Amino acid sequence: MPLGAYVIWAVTGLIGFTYGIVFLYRVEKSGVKRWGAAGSVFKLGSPPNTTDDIRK
Amino acid sequence: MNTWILWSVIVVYFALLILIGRMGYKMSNNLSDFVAGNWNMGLLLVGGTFVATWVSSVSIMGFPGMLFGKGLVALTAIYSGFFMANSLMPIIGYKIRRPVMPPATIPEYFRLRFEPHSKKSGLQAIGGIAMAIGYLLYVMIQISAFGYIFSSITGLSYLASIFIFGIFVLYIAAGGTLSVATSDLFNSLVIIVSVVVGALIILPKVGGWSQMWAQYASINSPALEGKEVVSGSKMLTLLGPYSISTVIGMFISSSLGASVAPHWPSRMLYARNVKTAVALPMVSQIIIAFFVFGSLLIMGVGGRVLIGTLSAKSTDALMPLLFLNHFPSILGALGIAGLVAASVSTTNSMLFHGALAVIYDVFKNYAGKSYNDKALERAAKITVLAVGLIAIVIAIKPPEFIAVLSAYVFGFWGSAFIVPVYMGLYWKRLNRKGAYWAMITGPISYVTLDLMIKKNIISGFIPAIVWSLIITVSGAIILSLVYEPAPRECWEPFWEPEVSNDTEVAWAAARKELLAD
Repeated sequence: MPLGAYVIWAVTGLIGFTYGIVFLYRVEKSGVKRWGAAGSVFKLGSPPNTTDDIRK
Repeated sequence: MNTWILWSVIVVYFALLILIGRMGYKMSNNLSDFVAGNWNMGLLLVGGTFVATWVSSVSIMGFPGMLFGKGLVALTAIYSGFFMANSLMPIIGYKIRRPVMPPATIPEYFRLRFEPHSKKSGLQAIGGIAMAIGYLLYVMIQISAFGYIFSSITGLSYLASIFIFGIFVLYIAAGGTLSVATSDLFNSLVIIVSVVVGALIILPKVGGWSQMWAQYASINSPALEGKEVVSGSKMLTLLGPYSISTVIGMFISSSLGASVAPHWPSRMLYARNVKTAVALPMVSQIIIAFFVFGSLLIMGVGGRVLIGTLSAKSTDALMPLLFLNHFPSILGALGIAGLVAASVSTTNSMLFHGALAVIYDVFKNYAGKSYNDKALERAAKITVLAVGLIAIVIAIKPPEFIAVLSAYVFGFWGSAFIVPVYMGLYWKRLNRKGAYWAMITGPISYVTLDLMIKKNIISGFIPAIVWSLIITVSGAIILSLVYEPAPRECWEPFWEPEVSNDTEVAWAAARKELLAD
């Protein structure tokens, strides 16, 4: 397969990881548990407040 | 292919689909569950529905078929745009899932972000109507395409095929978000296993990766009997028969435009928190762009090397023919189940979103009175059934204009929704007038300019979607700077973890049906 095809495939497939990881880091840094801050960048966190909590 | 084995696998597939979809029915206890999975779906469940909705029969047959007939342009000029759409989605997920009670639908996002005080939201209605029409067109196309393929594979009539398909899709979609998601998780597994196994069978038959590409490059026969020869060297060009401006237009439509097709941001709303919403497209991308499409790449390119010239009307027939004629019976039947799973999973999601748009974003929005949970949920199920039946009936003999119109849907949604979604989530000042400007002028300019380019009235050097973006973005900026900025209640939940009392009251008033017992 031509090199250009590999490059296009890799770039379009993986570029989201660059800022995606930054976003995960920013959520973690915010400390907002509801957003998913859970002690580690790649830990996704527990469920947020939802309608059940609002109903209480 | 042994017919008994084929039918056994298909029957087992449909039986498991109903059982697993039924689990989703039981998980759904109230309107919030039905509409949005209670905004509490973990990565596995929401990822499963993301992958399964993404991989449609258009992808699973169209992509290898294009590789077979037109060459690498299928990857470099067409599907790379869709991979880029996935790559853009963390930008949306990072903001749209922030509110403690997120919007239930994308049109409801337009309402809450731009006019939460309105008793009847024009933005929500415009978004809902655009969704309902777009999804109805797609559902009809999917049903019709499935009908032809299933009837050619099994020998059943086209009519029987579309009714069988329609019944299962209706059942799953009527169960709501959790029914769609649980069955999609199952469908994802079927799709992934079928195409990966397919690639693992094809690759050794064509001598491995390097040998496969060397043979592909030396092809000198037509893809379809009686058609012109496209040489191997042309099959390897990155742009194929398209000009660079056409490719740029397609890329922008497929990337920016597809990223705001409402079923994608909706899935980020269903995620249990912001991190899950961000991780969702990232993890799904690995599965879709590399595992699934890597396997489909091998099947398309390898299929061309193996078969040479197809005796069929269209290269879309490649995948069914490969599974039926070049695989051991049980694995070929599994492959056919993968094609069915791709069709079912995309169609049930689109049917659900289209029906929900009708009842929640248009009817409930403009009804002028309150409805309780149960009444709305019942109405939503009836709407799913009604919309689904309409789609099935029209698919019996689909008018030609449907295929023509469906080609505009992604561009239509993109031109309408790019500004309110991307700019709305990242620019506090974007106001109601700017959003209305974008949602009205975007689609009008896109369709008008595209027609003018096709008829050579204007040059196609700047694609229609680019023109549309210029018009919508500049108008939205001007209107947002000239007129009063959006009030705090509009943007605060997408920026701040804690919101003011005014914002809470405004959103609660706009959302009261979802909190009622």
